[in-house]
Amino acid sequence: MLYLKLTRKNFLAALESFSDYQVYAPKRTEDKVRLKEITILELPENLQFERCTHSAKELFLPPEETLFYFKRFSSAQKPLLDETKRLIIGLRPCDARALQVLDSNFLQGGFDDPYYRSRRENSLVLTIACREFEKTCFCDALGLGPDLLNGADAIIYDLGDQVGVLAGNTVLAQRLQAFALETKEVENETQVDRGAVPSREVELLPVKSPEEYFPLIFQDKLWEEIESACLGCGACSYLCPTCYCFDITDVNLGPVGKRIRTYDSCMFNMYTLEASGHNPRPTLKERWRQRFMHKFSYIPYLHGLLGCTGCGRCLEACPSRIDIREVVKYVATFTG
Amino acid sequence: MWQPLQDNPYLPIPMRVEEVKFESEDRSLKSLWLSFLAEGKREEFRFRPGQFIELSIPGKGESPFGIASSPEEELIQITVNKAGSVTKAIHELDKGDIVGLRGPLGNWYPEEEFVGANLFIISGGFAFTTLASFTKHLLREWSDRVKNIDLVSGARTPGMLLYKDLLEEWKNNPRLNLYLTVDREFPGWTGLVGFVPDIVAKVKVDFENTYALICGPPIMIRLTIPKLLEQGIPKNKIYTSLERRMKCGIGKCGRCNIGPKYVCKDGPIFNFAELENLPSEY
Repeated sequence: MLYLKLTRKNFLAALESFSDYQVYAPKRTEDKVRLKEITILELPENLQFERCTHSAKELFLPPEETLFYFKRFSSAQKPLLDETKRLIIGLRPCDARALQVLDSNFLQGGFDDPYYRSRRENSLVLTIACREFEKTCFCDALGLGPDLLNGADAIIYDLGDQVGVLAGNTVLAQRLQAFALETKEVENETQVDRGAVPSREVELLPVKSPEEYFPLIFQDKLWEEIESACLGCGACSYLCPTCYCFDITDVNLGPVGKRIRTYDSCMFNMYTLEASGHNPRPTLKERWRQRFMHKFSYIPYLHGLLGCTGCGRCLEACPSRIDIREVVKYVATFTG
Repeated sequence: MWQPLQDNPYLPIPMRVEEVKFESEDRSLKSLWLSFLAEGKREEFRFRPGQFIELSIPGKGESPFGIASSPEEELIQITVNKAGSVTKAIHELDKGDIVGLRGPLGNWYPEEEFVGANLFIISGGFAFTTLASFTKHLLREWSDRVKNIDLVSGARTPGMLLYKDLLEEWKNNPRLNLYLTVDREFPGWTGLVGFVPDIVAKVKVDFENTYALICGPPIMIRLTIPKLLEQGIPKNKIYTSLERRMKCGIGKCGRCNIGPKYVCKDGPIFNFAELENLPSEY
């Protein structure tokens, strides 16, 4: 990967060369910060952005998307792939990390998801290193960091009137090179000037290896205790940057219709309810086991990376104030 | 206009309904035979017994069904239990209607493993579909590669037994020992009477070197397994096919997993040694 130093002005000038891209950045509307389309000229000069209350998931796996249109009683159907070129700037390292988790589901495992792939391949993701920890952030407690590239196309470090850019994407690096004061080829984040990276004393969460969690599958008492506080509202999974589970349904619009996919949640009864009335996960006990194990055991087991990024959105969203960090600790100390 | 299946796994390919038939006396079970609209698709559609498809009716939605026809048959057969809104719409289909198909999906009965072994095929209720596909395939293509074949099929009543024509044919097939059973005595019924697990315990099977393939309602499976273990069949030689609510069928949408396994992609066929290490969410 290439590390470049640029003046802020030159960096913004370099971005202007991406004129064929729609630019997205975090933008506040009342109490929510979400990714919105803006122009390069609207980018804040200090290149600082608030952390999104909704994650980058929205742009890659929208809450609702059309898979294809169909005509009823006919074999005609029209698939829709979103090939819009997007330059997304101002996400955080945890958001990039979350995209790696989504990639592992949608782009691996023997089948490819063309809808996700199209959005992913047509997007450039430029993150900014965090300048401080928010109240609910805990990426460092998972051994991740607020200054890591995490598979983004580039991460931007604030160096006063300059910026340091660590680019993993070679095409992007080439475009920036013409504007750079200095460049060097590096292997990882520790070899570059990252400016003032926040750090704090933090106790690592006792996350076990995926296989170590397997025996807990059979510990009913553990999950019963955890479920007791949960309302099953699904707010955690809606805001979680790595929760990708979806539903597929048909919508009729007169003689034509569309097949859509929408967010779903393992916290809902309907999610696994079968037409016969049988439900393999009938209570929140099984659903909590599923949600926890999916993030901390199954995804790591299948794809080699943790399903939680430590972004803390679920802590903020939970009406029962369930703190996933406490759940991780509780699970680690549970002895039956 | 039709993209090949492998490019966009969410796009169904169009099928024509060639034949429909009620399979049970209460009209809750109906078979459909489907042909591919596009030429050459049948050759491309290579499946093995145990695999399933997603059948879709535009405007109603999609549901997964085990393939009941054998790979050697030209038409694709599924048998549908009327339970929810999609299956209700499927029951209303008639000859000539156009539907969508995605597949073949999932894994299959590992037939290579069965070479030189005895097979004990056990079915309860309408779970007979993929086992019927497998048995047809077995009798046609694999007959000389396996030893004894015993088949138990049970239903609540004689009128609820699936694939009656096929069963009649198999009665006279010397290659297969067929045991048909219903829950209680019925006028005119000359077969066995009793629940599947009890019949399984009574059937004289050479349990040395035997694989059991078992499909049926969860309660039937739960009661049958101990009978098989008692006879000395090891857990890794007992195979079953699981059913779960599914959407994508390709391991993406998240709902059908049991532990780290997706029923749609890693299953639906599992052996009991595998299932023992998974949560009992089935």
